[in-house]
Formats: sequence, structure tokens, C-alpha cells
Amino acid sequence: MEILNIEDLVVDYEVQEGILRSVNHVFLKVRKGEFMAIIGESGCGKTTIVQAIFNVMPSNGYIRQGRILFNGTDILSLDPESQRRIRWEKIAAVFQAAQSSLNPVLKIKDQVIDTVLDHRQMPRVEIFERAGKLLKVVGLEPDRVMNSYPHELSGGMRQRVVIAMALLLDPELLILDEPTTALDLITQAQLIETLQHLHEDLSITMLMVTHDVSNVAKVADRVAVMYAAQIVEVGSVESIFYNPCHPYTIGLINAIPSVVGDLSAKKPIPGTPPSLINPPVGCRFHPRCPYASRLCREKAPELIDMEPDHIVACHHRLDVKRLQHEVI
Amino acid sequence: MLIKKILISVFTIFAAMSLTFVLVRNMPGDIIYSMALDKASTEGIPFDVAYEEIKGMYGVGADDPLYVQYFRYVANIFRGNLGDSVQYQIPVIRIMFSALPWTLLVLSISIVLSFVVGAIIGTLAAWKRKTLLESFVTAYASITDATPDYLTAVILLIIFAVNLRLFPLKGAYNVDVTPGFNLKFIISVLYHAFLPIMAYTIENVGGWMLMMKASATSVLGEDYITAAQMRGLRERRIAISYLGKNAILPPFTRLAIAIGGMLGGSALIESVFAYPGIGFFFGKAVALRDYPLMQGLFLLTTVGVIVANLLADLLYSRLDPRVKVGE
Repeated sequence: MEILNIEDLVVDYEVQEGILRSVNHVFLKVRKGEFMAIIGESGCGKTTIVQAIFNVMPSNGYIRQGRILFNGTDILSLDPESQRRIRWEKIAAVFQAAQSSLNPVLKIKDQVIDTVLDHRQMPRVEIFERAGKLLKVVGLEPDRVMNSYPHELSGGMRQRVVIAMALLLDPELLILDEPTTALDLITQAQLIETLQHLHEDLSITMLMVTHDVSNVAKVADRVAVMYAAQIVEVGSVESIFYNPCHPYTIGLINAIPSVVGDLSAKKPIPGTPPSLINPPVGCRFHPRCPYASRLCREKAPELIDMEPDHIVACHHRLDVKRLQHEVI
Repeated sequence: MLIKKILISVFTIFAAMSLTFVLVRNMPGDIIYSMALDKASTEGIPFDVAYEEIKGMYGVGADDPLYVQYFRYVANIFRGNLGDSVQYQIPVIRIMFSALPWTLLVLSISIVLSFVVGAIIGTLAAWKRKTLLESFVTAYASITDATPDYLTAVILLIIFAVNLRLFPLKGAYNVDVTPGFNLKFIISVLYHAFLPIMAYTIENVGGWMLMMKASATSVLGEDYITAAQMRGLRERRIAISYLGKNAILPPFTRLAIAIGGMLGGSALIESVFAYPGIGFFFGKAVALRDYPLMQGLFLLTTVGVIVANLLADLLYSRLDPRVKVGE
């Protein structure tokens, strides 16, 4: 059963140079109870998908078409007040740059109270009790944190506050947009562990958006790979990491530096991601792809089933798969 | 750190006081010469006699070197003596005390009114971007910015006082009422203050709007605004506690300066309405080179601005928890 079903989503940004299509006909399903991850390079449109789910676009961003079904209801077709009620009550998020997502002139407790009271009638004592419990879950000392201003907390602590705030209203879906960027490695590891616990203990559906492939391997059940505003491969975490079929996915995985082994074995993908204002014709990955043929330059590939629960958009998926196994 | 701030303020006042003294004394135009010429012809006495008399009247001891005059001036200030006004022949201090209440009345109402209205409209214009309100704010601010304040005052005077006769032409209260704490007097005072308040507010509200709009627009780009929207907070709450509360910080500093500058009055507006505030006397002092009065009023403005800045520093740390007092 899908909790979130994104159908044919198209999002444009109007920039000085023209129209930048940040999300291009994206289809994506998130099943109830799973931990799903979207991976891709910076600027591939991952964060735009999150913004579209919340329908909170920057002033130059426009959702051109598509539906975002949450438990079967198209969020985008709802009136503003109903949309507002879904935010945080049903879908909560820990954003990219969560460090700066707290209001600098309000104490944490006031921001907690604001968040609860705009959705529910609840006595303050109960709000404090609930917030205290959640702050403990994410490993913070409630009394100290609640009476602090954001600048009095460290980056890692603020991140945890934001996670605790995301859980205030018992959301069904928690979206994590680059939750570990801007944190040091130890804090990152602790945070990933906390998120894993939350997922298991509270059975919240998670959708994580990240470029950090190694963390995805640790926590995700299913993975969608995004390249240049499009989804190029979706599958279980095993099939994506052990049986990748898109040359871009292979490139991403090979680019992870390994702790053991030779650093020179790490192979970055040649070239740079294409401009989304003037994307390449045909398959968008062809200028960087070792398998590119005439077909790739002319016709865009569609997402096709490779095996159960594993789809890929590549004309040469079978060759890629065969060669990949030979290399290994 | 507070002590340091206060010491710096005291030093600044002293420096400004000295600079004012030098500047005022070096203003072009020898008022004594022209007044003596006038006196000599009207009273039919020799020019030299008239010149000496006028000089004595000014009490500047103009024969003494400038630095002697300066030390005398400073010493007198510490005794609370700012000298006598040349044209009114009464102590400058007395003029100040009689004029200050009028200026404070008109300007405190005007400044608070224009700041509050400007802040609200500016925030709304930034929040509801790409609407008519935004274009209105920009248009209004550029028009009032290009219109000198005395022109606004004259236009108001012509329409509401001369043609419609809704408001009085001049003065601070009706001469028929007895000054004091009675309803008639208070009503008369407010009635007379209305047009000057309007002139000042119309002239200044645009600046606050623009400043607040610019500040709010930059705050809108902050992550915590998007985060607040994603958290599903009510629009009203986001606009006030998240946008407004952060955007008000830069204009607030300017407000402090405006409040300090208030002690100097608004020379042109007060002159148009013949409103007996500090600005009105400022105009008179400059026109007649009334050195003691000018120096006294300049000193008042300087002290006002500097003290207001000091207070703003202290208050700012209450508004923005990231700032500690004295930083």
C-alpha cells in the first residue's frame, strides 16, 4: 500500500537564463512503513520534490503538472487550509540546513508551542510533556534545550531539536532532506542511528533525500536514483547496490571512497551534470556514459522493469548488467 | 562594557559640542554688521556706536579670541547656562523648555505612528509579494521621498486649513482656552497638532515602509520561514512572529536615531504651521544668526541622538537574543 504516490510531477524555476525544469515527469511511490531514499548529485531536483510535496515553492518556482497523492488524496488539489493541516500533522520534514530552520528570536519552547497550537488544542503542560519525551528520544536534555535560543545550541543539537519537532504531531510520513549535511562524522553516525531507531520503534514511513550514498546503504529499504531532474532507477537497496543496471547508479556507487582498499580505485563519473535549462536530447546521461550509442543520443529511455521491484531507464540496461557482472 | 559605551557617548557629545561651536561661529554673514547698519539708520546714531551696542547685546565678547569664547561657552554649559537669545532677550534654556513639549508631542506621535504603520505595511508588502500593495509601497515612497516636507505641509495647510477650514492655520492651542490640565485645552492642543502630525507622518511613513519591506524581503529568503510554512503554521503567525519579529531588527536601530533626532524638531514643518516647537525656533535662530540659541538647540539635538543610540543598544539586546549588551 502506498502512502505517497507522486504522479508525473513537473516543476519549473523561472531563472534569468530561462526556464529551469528541476523535476521532469517524475513518478515515485513510497510504501507505508518503508524507509525510502532518493539519491543523486546536488542540483538534480531532489529537494524540489520535497518542496513540491509541501507545496512550499520559492517565489520563482512553479508546479506545472502532476499529482501528489497522500493516502490516495491529491494534496495539490486541496484548499490552502487543508494543505496546511496535512503539513506536520501527516507529513513532517527535517530539512536541508536544519541548523537554520529555527527562528533565531524565539526560544525552542515557543517554537514548539507555536507548532502544536496551530494544529491542535492542547494544554501547555501536555505540550511540554510530549516535547520533553521526544527530546529525550533524540538524546537531548529537555529542560535545558526548551529554554534555549537556537544560537545557544550546537549544530548537532539543533538538528536533533528539528527531528524532535518533526515528531510532535505523530506524522505518518517523515521526510529527511540531507539530514546529515553540515554535521561532523561522529554526529552524522549518531544521527543516522537515531533515525533508524525512530523508524523501527515508531514505525514511521521515512523518505530520505541525500547525496550521501553510504548512509543510504545503511538505512534504506528502497532506493530511487535521480539524475538531471529525472528518476533513472528504482529498486530495493540490495538490487541497487549489488545489481545496479543504470550506468549512472554504477558511477555513484563506485565513487564512494572505501575505508579499506586503495583510494585510487575510486572512480569519479567523468564530466559534469548537464544544465537543466538546456538538457541533452535523448538520454540525459549520454554525454557522460561509456555505453552511449546513437539511440541514446536520439531517444530518451523509459523506466522498464528489470526484475520484480526494480525498474531502470537505460537503452543498454542488459549490456550494462552483463558487463557489470563480468567486472565483478 | 556598558561603562565604555557611556564614556564614548560622553566624549561624542563633547566633540560635537566643540565642532558646533566652531561651525556656528564661522557661518557666513556678519549679523552684527547688518544689524548695526539697521540700527544706525533707524535711530540716527553713528554707525560705530550702533555697532558697539549691538555687539554688547549679542554678548559674544566678540573682541576676545575664539578659544577664550569657547572656554567661556563650555564653562557656562556646565553651569547650566546656555546664554541669552539675542532676538528674544531671554535665556536659551527657557526657550528650550517652552518649545520642547510641543515638539515632543507632535514628533513622538508622528514617529510612533509612521513607524508602526510603515512596519505593518512594509511586512505585508513583502509577505504578499507581487501584489498591488507592493507597487503601492514603492510608488508612495518614491513620491513622498521626492516631495520636500514643507511642501507636504503647505499642501495640507492650503487644503484643510485655508480652503476646508477644518483645522487651524497656526499655533499650538487656541488663545481663548486657559493652558492647564483641562479637557478644553487638551482638545485644542490635539486639534492644533493634527496637521503637523499628518505632515510629518505622510512624509516619513514611506521610508519606514521601504526599509521594512527590504528587511522583510531578505528575511523571507531565510530557511526558518520556509520551515515555518512546512510546519503548517498559520499565515498570521508566520507573518508576525517569524517574519515581522526578525525583520524589525534593522529598522529598529534607525527608529532610535529618529527618536533622538526628534529633539531637534522639524524646522520646516513647524515653521509652516507656526507651531512653537524646537524646529520653529531653530528656523528663527538660523535666520537671524542667533548664535546662543543655535548652539543651544544643536547641543540639544546632539545629546538627543547620542542618548537615543545608547538606549537603542541596550534595547536591541532584548529584541535580538543573539546580541549581548555592549557588543
